[in-house]
Amino acid sequence: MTKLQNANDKHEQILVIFDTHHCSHVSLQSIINLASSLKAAIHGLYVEDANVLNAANLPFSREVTLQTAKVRKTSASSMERELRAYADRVRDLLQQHATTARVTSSFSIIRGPRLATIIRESRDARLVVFPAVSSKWSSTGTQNDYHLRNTIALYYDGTDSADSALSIATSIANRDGADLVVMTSERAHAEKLRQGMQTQSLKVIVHSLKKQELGTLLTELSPYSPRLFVLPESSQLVQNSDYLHRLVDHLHCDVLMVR
Amino acid sequence: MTQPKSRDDLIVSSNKLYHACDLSALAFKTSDDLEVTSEHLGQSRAMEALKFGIGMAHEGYNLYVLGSTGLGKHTTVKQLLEKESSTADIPPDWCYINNFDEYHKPHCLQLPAGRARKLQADMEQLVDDILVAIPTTFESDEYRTQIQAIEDEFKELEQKTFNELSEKADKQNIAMLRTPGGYTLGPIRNGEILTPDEFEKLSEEEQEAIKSTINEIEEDLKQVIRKIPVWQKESRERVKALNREVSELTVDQFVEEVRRAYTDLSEVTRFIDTVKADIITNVDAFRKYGEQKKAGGNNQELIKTLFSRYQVNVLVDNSETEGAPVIYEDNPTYQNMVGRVEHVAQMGTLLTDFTMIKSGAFHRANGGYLILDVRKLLMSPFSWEGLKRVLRAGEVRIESLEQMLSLVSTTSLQPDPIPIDVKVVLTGSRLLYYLLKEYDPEFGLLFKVAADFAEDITRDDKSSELYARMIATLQRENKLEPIDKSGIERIIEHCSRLVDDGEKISLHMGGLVDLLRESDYWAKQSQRSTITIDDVESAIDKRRYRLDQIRERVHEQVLRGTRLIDTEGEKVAQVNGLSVIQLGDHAFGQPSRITATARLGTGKVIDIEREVDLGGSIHSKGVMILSAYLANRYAKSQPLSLAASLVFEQSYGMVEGDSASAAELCALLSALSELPVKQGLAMTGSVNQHGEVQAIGGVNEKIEGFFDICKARGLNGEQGVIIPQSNIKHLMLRKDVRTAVDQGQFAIYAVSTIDEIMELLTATEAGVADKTGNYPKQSVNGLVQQRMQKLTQLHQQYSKPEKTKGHDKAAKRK
Repeated sequence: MTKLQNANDKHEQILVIFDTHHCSHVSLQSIINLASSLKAAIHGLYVEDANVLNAANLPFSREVTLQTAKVRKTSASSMERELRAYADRVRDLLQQHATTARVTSSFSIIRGPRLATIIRESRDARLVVFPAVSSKWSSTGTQNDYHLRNTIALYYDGTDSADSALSIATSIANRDGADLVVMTSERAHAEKLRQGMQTQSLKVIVHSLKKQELGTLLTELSPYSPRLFVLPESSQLVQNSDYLHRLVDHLHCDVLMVR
Repeated sequence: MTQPKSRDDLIVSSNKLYHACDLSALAFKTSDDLEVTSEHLGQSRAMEALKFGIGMAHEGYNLYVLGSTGLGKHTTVKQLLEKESSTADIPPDWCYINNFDEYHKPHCLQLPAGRARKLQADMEQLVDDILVAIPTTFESDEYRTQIQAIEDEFKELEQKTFNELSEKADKQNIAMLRTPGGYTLGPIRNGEILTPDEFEKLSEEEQEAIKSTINEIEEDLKQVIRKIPVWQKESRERVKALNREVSELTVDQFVEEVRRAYTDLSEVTRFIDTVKADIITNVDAFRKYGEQKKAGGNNQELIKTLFSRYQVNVLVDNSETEGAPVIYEDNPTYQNMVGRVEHVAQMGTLLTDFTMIKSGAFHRANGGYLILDVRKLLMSPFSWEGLKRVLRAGEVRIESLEQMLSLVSTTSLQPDPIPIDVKVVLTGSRLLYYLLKEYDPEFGLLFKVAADFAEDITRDDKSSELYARMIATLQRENKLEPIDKSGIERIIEHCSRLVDDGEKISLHMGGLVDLLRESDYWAKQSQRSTITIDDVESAIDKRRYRLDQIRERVHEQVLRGTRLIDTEGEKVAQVNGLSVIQLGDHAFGQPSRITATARLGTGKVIDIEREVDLGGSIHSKGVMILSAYLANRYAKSQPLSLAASLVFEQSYGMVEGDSASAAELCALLSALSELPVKQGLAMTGSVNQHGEVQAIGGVNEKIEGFFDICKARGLNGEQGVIIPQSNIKHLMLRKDVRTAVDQGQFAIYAVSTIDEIMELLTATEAGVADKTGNYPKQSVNGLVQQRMQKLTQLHQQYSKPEKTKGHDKAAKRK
């Protein structure tokens, strides 16, 4: 476990990206637990989507509400208030959970185009978490089956950051008594992992991807219903600029990106 | 009136002063040699009534066993019932189970004897099994995969719909942007939302086209959002259906196993089916239990709260009962009789459910017998009414007193009534029996059999032998030392004394057992391994001594001259009467001075006790009888020109009974004849209008009471007690009295008439009337007659001159 301890020591802060998609309590608690086990501080970053404010500035600006399916007129100022109120709520929630778990936390708000801002702001962080997004349509953000999930998933490509990600994922799975699913595209990596993980007491599934492609990864990951997906940032899969959109908007679990 | 007997004829011979018991005809040395008896001596009437009552299966044939305390009613009844019930069928078990439709109305369940506990255990095991099985099933990969599939299907539908709408918007250069409250739409140029300035620069047609497109997409968006609840509901329904299917599969295997054991009991299988349906409906509770257990929560409280409704509350368990139950309820409160619903306090609120229903004596005695002490029953509020209601209705309904009296309006349990087949046996006194019979019309309908226990039995050789065997039986039952023949004889004699009758024996087993135990104690104190007559005497004497303080004080007052009682000499119009003071189970006699005065009057005898309300009605009756006797005997053909008064001197309490009426008459006759009365004699007896002396109670105590005073002052051979002839059979006098009589120091006289008493008291001939109705002049009756005639003449003299004088004065005025 020397490697893991080193990895833990190195990651002193986890950046958690929040936006207008709802983040559930369960998901937030899970992220706080992650920080606690890694002895890391949490920094919450709320991204105010500039495009939303621009749209609200238009003379015919309207909002279709999820609660009632009704159309209501909006303005830049009303939308700004709405975004700030939401940010305040997210901050309170984060602080509340962090205080309970005795995890150091901070919070900031930044405005800009959503994806571009997320990419820019997360560039320098060692660990970045994108909280699970529930339903696109649901306004409650609840995930009925979240409590049933007890699997940690990891994409492994043999890079240094992948080793670091493996160390973190193993640590979390051990702590929670969860199963560990390792997705890999290289047969050699699969063999190496199978041998390497034999000493672990936890249940490890090494899954060989049919294709080294983000779409394939997402499709083949789905049946495992992971609670947390750990992804090394160096992976070829996430070099494409579209990756973040697909990860953040399509995965129904927390995503931990490890550099 | 016949010629009175001579003084010697009236003396009671010493062999009549005590009815000794002689068991010499029986060949035994100690009670160990006597055969044990199970016979209920002297109670054949009661036993026949009990057997009849037990045998009568019809409604209302409950029993009332009457007799005084200590007769052994309870023991006899219990023994008989246990014997009768041992061959009877074992009644069924009774349980309360949850009513899943109306929780406040629990159902009762009847099961063959011994199966209720098994059902209770089976249901507990069932819940335990399911508590493990359900969380395991719902955490299985198979279940999770199925749930995931349902949710994925919903997500895919959602994704597809969103993507289609998003693509449609994209194609028309419209962006769908997520806001905290929903979605907003905006036109895009080169991947960016148009600013208001850029939008203003567009031509009017372009602006309208954008607005129109946004309107169209908004409409689509609204349609989709409206479908979300429908999809969610559909998803939930499918999850629910899956949960039900999985639950049924899991629960079935365990339920079927239990169900198979009760296929012969349709009500039980119906209950099990209901439980199964409820478990499936509430499967989330079992899953929650699994989660809590996993989280290390305190599951005991949760189990108690959530799963108690599947329990079986065994109210009556006859698994170890042999024959029909015989229950004695020592504390027959209303709730102890009909059962109760208990409550637990939680957060200041009182909570209850069917598991807190507790059985009453009726439940436990169902199918058998219930023995109750009627006095305790009547002293417990509402118990008597509760008992009658159960017997009338033939069912026991558990209802709290607060509900019954409408004192509370809060909802509580209304358990199903349980049908009752029980024979109630009340034990109690005769007084209560006759009071109930008189004042409660329902009593006679519900308690048709009276078993009347005898208080005593006629004493003869046969009964004495049986009594000796009964003493032997009690001695062995109580593990006491054996009693020798003399001891048994003394015990029988004492039991005769207890009923104040030498020809009877008391049947009070309680008192007898106490005497045996105390005799055994004194035998052991004397290092004897056999109880002898001395030990029995010690037991009797010591017991008397323990209770004798009041008697000592009363006699002390006499001996110190505080209470004036003469025991020698002669006095006119002063007689020693005798009375008995009863203090609990201890009685003693004491002499009372009775005095009389006689003077001219109009025939009225004043009873001073009655005048001041210290005389009871029977005492007053006695005084009136003696007035009638006087008039009848001495003033048949002339006015009774007498004013007399009678009083118990130094009496400060109530005087009741007519046992002193003969003494009062003698005092009055002495006052009239002016013949002095011997103070060495005391007397007791009631008198009738013809001067016959009648029997009284407490004769032994009365004689002993006067004897003790005389003995303390010194017996002079002139002292004695006059008793009615008809009381001779009751004599069971102490040994010291008998010895004094044998030695001529004390005498007991038995008389039949007042004349005999007067001759004894005055040593003067009573006198017999001649043909003209006149008595010899110097006889007692002659002197009384002369005094009466004198009073009449005086009365006439006082009457005449008064009238003449008045008439003359009136004539002079004219």
